[in-house]
Amino acid sequence: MLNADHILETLNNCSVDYILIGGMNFLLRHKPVLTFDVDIWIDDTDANRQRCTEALVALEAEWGPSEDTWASVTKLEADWLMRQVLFSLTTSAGPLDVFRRVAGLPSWQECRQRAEICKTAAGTQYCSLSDDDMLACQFALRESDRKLDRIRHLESVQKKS
Amino acid sequence: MTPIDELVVSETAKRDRCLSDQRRWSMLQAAINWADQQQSFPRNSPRACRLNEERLLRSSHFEKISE
Repeated sequence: MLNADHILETLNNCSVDYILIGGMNFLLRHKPVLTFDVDIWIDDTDANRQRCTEALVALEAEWGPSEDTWASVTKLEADWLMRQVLFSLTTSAGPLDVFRRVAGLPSWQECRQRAEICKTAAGTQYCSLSDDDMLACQFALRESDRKLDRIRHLESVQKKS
Repeated sequence: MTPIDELVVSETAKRDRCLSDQRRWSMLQAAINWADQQQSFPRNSPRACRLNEERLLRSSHFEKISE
């Protein structure tokens, strides 16, 4: 069962430098959309990947290059997060996607400066990708991959501000 | 908007005003969990994660990014 607060709390407790992106970020900042996972973009440094691994261990995360090899992340080599640019994991608090890169956006640090520190209604703090960067992210996609309802909403918010 | 459309909007807005942020957030997560249960296999499963990861890696999210 998805418990976004527990995922965010664990990342915070392990001092992971992350920005919440994707549907959950849009849902928390704007309006409800059906999303089944939590997507985070991490600062891609050795130290932060290490902290992220610690958080994933605390969340009892599992991942594998295939379903047959799916196992606890504790069974993987120390620098397993270097294997690819994103990981879609199961955790005890629901599915979590970890991105090391996000297309269409400048550096993680630049986006972090524009990001906002927010709180869920349960009081859990999270770092939220800015509206401008959410839009940039959508426009970097092929037209067929874009979420048009989100684009319309974000553009209307931009016009009002 | 027809009178019925207006009623739907005003009733929905009234209900939202009567929900605390905490209750609303809890209901949203419960709705996500309910919707997930209606799928043929849950999103928090190795199979769904593998499919999601493959879809994302193939998508335009990553076509301009290479290791």
